[in-house]
Amino acid sequence: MSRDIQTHDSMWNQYNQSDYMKNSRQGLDEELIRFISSEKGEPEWALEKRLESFRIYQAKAMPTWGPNLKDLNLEAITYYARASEQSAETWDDVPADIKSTFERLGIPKAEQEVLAGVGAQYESTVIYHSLKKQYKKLGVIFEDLDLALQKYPELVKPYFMKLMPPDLHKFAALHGAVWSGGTFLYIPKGVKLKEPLQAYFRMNAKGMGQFEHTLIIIEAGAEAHYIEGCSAPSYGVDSLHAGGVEIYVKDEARFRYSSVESWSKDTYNLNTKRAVVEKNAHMEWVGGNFGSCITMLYPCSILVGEGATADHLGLAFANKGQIQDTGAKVIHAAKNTSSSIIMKSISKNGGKALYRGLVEIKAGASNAAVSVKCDALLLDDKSVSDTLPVMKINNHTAEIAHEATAGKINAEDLFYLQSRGLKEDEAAAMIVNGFIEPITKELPLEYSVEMNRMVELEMEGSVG
Amino acid sequence: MKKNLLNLNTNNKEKYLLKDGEFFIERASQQDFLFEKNFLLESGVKANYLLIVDKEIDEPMSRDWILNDHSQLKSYRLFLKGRNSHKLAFRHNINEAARIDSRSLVLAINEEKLSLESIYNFSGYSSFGRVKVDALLAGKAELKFHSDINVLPSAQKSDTRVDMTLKLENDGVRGEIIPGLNIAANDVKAGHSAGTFRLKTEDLFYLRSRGLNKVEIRDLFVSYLSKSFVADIKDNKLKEELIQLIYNSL
Repeated sequence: MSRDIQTHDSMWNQYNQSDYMKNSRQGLDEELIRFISSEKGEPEWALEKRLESFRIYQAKAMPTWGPNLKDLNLEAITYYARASEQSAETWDDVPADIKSTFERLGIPKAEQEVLAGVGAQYESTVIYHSLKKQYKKLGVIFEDLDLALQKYPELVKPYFMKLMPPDLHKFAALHGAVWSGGTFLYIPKGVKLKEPLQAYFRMNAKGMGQFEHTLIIIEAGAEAHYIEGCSAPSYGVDSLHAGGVEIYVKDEARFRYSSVESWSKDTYNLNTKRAVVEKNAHMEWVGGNFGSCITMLYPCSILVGEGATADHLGLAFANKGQIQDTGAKVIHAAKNTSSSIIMKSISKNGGKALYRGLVEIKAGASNAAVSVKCDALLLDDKSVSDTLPVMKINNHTAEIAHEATAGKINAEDLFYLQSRGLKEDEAAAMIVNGFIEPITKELPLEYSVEMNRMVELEMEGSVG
Repeated sequence: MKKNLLNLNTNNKEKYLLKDGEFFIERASQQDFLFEKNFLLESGVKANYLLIVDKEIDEPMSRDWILNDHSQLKSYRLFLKGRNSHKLAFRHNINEAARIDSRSLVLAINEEKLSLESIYNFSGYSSFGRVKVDALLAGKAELKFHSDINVLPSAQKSDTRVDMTLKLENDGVRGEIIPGLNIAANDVKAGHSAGTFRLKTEDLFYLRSRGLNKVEIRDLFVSYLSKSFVADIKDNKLKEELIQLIYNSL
């Protein structure tokens, strides 16, 4: 087994002792929310926002659609735990056991070689954040959001929880009440980052909840690529991830958000990601979902400026006991906007993959163009693939094309590869890698290789 | 009233067993039109069915179909009128080697408000289905059309597909189409597509240069949709009557 595959296994099988959990407790009430806010030294408006979100959370019912969440015991979740006293700017200042976790995940090495900056969150707080000097000089801000709230209130307050208001759904409200850590990224006007930035979110302790908030502002004409990775070890006890991502892409700007989510298979991943895209700007979502028992994730682009465009590329792998309920939402709210959605799913060992999509063309959004393509691969007769695309069209000039197919690995392709000397499982893995290639080719090489290896691992024992 | 095929008052039973070779026709404007009805195709039976919704229906309406092994159904549904606050539901259970070809045409050009749901449960080995939906909306019409194909674990070797096309004539119309595809068997062919139809600028220019105005261009499109809808009907008289009915409704 190669070193990289060992790294992948360690995401789910290895964890550190978590003595800091003695100071934490399960369940959620107003007292805990006030404690989180006071520990972070937040301004009054931020506490008010948390309390308002908590009230909405209490009033809102669980979602009545999608996967059944009745087994998720929200009373048994630990909503806040601080593993390290402060965020470090060098890896040497990070506590040794936490540092070793990120070293196993290959983060410090990647930072040196290919990244413009790195953020690392462990449980509820950010333990490391750094940005290369040349980008700091250009005015780029890449910070822990807790810190940014205090250092740059004029930049954070007008945008925070505006695109993802707490009344969006129950888990957006929960997020608004207990959010902690995450990233604040600000790219000034016209600045174009050549290297990507990365944040990595790690849940370590048993029964933990992680609620990081990512707020990204890409000013006019700027360009950047941001990558998020997530993982947690497996305990056999439910944990919860309900992160929030808000992205503002201003006129003529371009932004790519990539994420590879590898939560352990006892994690509920109920994430909300939304972007607003202004005039002639471009937003790109590239996502891979591998872990978790239930994922509900539908990145959303709202095209509000004339000529705005969005691309959504997604891959979901549903293995035994997993429900990957993923998709994309694009709302065309301005003239001459266009969007493209490409989703791939693989179901195996009784796993269930769903594409749930929404394309909405508002009445004033003339000449909108939309292309949606979903392909599903079912590797056995126990697995399930569902596609539910909703198209709401309120403008007669819209051009929309949706196409979806589902099926198994083509026997002739398998036979051909075997005739060239490949074993059956190698041939199947090669076909699957070809199937996901439209997604992996959009990732930087290192991540693309990692995603291919994760698929290979998930594919073990698929054939024969 | 002149007697013709479309005025045939075929049957008003709640449960109906289609005979081999039968072409069952029902119209919402019939006096004895039933809102709920079950149909059964016994093994090996080949039959045709036509529903014309040419009257507003303000009650829940459903049609439940069972297609037994090796049976074949060609189903046509034509929606010309309606402001229904309730969903019109069509459910189909398709068994082993049974085959369904379903075509729906919605022509809503005034203030129609239609909510339609069509569910196809493929439970049989080697079952087959082709579902096609075309809709033209104009004026202030609103349409919500949910068409689900469910391929159950027992439906290995099935071949299913749903295609939905929507043409919106002007602003003020609202269309919502949902072509669902739910698959629980792996050795299957399954696909769906959905999209909007819009004349290219060059085509529009050509038609205008031939002297056609906006309404005439729309009628040309309706003519194409109608002919496509009736294309597989073998009875020429019925074809003509259907096309005439569509024109009269416009």
